[in-house]
Amino acid sequence: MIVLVLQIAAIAGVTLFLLHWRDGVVRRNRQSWESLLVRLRTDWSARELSEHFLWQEGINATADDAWRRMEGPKGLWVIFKNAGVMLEMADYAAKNSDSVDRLLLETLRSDAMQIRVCVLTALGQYAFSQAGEGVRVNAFRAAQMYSGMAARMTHLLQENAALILPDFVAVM
Amino acid sequence: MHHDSISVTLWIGGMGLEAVLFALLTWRRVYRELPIFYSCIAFEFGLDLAAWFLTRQLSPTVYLRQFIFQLTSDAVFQLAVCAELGRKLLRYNRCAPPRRIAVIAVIGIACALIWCLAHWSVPAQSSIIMVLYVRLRQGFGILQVGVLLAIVGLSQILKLRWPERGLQIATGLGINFIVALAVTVLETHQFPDSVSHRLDQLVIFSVVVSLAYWVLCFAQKTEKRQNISHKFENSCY
Repeated sequence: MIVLVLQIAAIAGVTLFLLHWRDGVVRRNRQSWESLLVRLRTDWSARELSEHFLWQEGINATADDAWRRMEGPKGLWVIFKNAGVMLEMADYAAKNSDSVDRLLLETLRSDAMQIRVCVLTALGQYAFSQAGEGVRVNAFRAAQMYSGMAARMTHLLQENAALILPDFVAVM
Repeated sequence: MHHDSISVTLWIGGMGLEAVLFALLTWRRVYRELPIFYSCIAFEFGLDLAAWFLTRQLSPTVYLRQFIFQLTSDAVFQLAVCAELGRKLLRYNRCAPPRRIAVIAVIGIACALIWCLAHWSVPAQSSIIMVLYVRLRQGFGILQVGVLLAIVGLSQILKLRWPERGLQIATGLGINFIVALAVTVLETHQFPDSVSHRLDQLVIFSVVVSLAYWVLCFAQKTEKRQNISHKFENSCY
């Protein structure tokens, strides 16, 4: 009897996972450019780390300096959320334009993945050791990748949808 | 073979829906975009039609052989449709295919998990053909759900977008696969014949539901792409 209950629970779990996934995909397919822009977090901007943010890759700060300017975990969390939204923006552009460079899209996908992993690692370390050396190094790496991703995203919009670029620049 | 009125209704309903779906797919020229899915529906319709005329004249043993052939061909075709979905997903997102070893590993892990949970057994004193039938049903049940979970899992990890038609096909297949697996798992507990019969009807009902869902989906046009530059040009002026 226990086996039967476990089996039913397992199948119910798989079914719920598939329903949850489908719901997420439907919601994601229906979102508009405006709804994506609204989802970008504006409570911290990476302009604090680089004068040429969005136009050039790289940041003008040391690891310690970057940690201070990104206001610790607050900046990290904004980076984490915005990396995901930027990836969805790139997908939106790819869905609605034929000319999006496949390699650029792949790079953005990889950027988003690496940034999110790096931020989660840094936040995990921060939870245990506050702002130790490892946290600062991971935060610096995440910020550097984020500036690269933002520059590539700007380039993608410039090439494929120049008219919507000002909105993106204004929000970021 | 004896069939009760529910089975006959489900069978006729299923064949009718297959015919309508096939006509819709041809009208929408889906064979260009999804040739394997199109062939799968055509093949299943032909096979059901042949089975409808043959089963009345066949002995139970021959009927079971014919049923094993149908089970195997359906499952192989549905797995091929899953592969087609995976390929289409990668093309749609313009991304490079993941390494073959990663795909095999993910499918393997998914199947292993389901295998552990399934606790399989074959009814005692069964004929070889019956054992083969039960094993094939269990094996395909696991493989189908495992492959679907692997595709969904990889698309989640890589944050891939799903094309509308692809998502509709995956939803229909998901309904089929989950119900078939649930029934296969339940049947290993050896319920009385009447309950087993109702469970079998539940599997056919799930097929009818997914066919009806596909008919509804393919009767509608897909959402058109927006040209993002023009869209914003309009809102600027």
